[in-house]
Amino acid sequence: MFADSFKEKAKLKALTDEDLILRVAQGENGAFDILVDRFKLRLFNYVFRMVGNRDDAEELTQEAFVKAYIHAGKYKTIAKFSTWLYTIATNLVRNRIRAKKRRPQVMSLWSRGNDSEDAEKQLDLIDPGRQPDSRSNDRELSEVIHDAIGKIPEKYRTSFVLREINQLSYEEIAAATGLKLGTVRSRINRARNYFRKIVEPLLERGVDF
Amino acid sequence: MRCRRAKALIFDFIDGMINDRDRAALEEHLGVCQACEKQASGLSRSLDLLHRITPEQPDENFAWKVRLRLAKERNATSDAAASERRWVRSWNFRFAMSAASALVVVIATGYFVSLSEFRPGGGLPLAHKETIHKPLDTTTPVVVHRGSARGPVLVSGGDVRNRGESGLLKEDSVPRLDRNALTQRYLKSKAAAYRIRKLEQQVDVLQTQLRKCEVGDK
Repeated sequence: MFADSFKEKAKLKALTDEDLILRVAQGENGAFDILVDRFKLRLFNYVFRMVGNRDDAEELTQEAFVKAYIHAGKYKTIAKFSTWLYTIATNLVRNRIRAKKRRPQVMSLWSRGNDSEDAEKQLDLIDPGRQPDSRSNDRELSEVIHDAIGKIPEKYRTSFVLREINQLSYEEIAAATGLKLGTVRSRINRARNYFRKIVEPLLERGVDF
Repeated sequence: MRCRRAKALIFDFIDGMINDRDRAALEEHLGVCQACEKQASGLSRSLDLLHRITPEQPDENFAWKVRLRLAKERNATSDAAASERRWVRSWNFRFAMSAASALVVVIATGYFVSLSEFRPGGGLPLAHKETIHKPLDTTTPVVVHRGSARGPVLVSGGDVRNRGESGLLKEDSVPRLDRNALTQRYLKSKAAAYRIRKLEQQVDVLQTQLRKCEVGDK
């Protein structure tokens, strides 16, 4: 019996994402477990870079998978499963960010107002006191980069993270965000400039990560 | 090449989406324009930094937490569905009871109105109405209601006329029954009307016998 379930699981692992979600729609929970395994890292990183803290990122990522399971019957194979999943996550992230905006007394990790184009003028460079020294480890680099990403305005940040962190194509990003291709390219390029301006002081000081 | 064009091509270069001709033109421009070269260099290094970070790992029990969340969602959905079904059933029941009650009231009202001597506009349909021009007194008009039964029996004012009877009884010589109260009470059904008719026939018989007795005494 164990061998049978092992074989069954091996068969499922060989399936594409699209085939797996179709099986989930038919009630096959094993297929769902495999999809969670495949996408949890990518989805969590996307959501984490968007909302800024682990607790929210965990919660929203779980919710995205739950919604994908519940609405598996609505998935259409015209789009990639990953695109569909990112769409669900993007909507959840947007709703959470809007909810946080409505409650200004709640401290957000992204404590600076950075959701408008005027944020460029208000960009705070990374605190020199926080600059890692020449023996910076990966952890400190991650924190610095994470802070820098948080300073990018939210409407540019979505496309930027999907492109630079999750390595999605422009077409996939356009499908996930509901934006036109030209708008996606434009927002990504603007976000890159924001990011460059934030990180450049570190690079100019010759800090070696 | 102008700086504006060069800055746009820098992004295509970063994405690997530049053709050979544009690449050559861009490289030539960057060789002579320090501002564009600085921007290109800064972009390239900052993105390189970004790509070096280690991905954040979710909690090690992530998959289990997703299943738990899913189970809670299912329970909540089934509870909500059950609650909604109970709510709908209760409203269906209430609606059905209200509709049934309203229907009973309408039917009863219609029936009573059809049998009632009091009608808007002054009384029964004209075809069934006959006026006796001998009121008991000046203030009490007498109306015979024929109704749909064979025998007309319901009378307001105290007089009775049966089909086939030759005339009215003499009121002064016969004890009068309170037919108004009787009529109102027994207006509910044809059976009640029939019973009234039968009773009145008996009354007539008795009155006839009484008359005979009186005649015999004289």
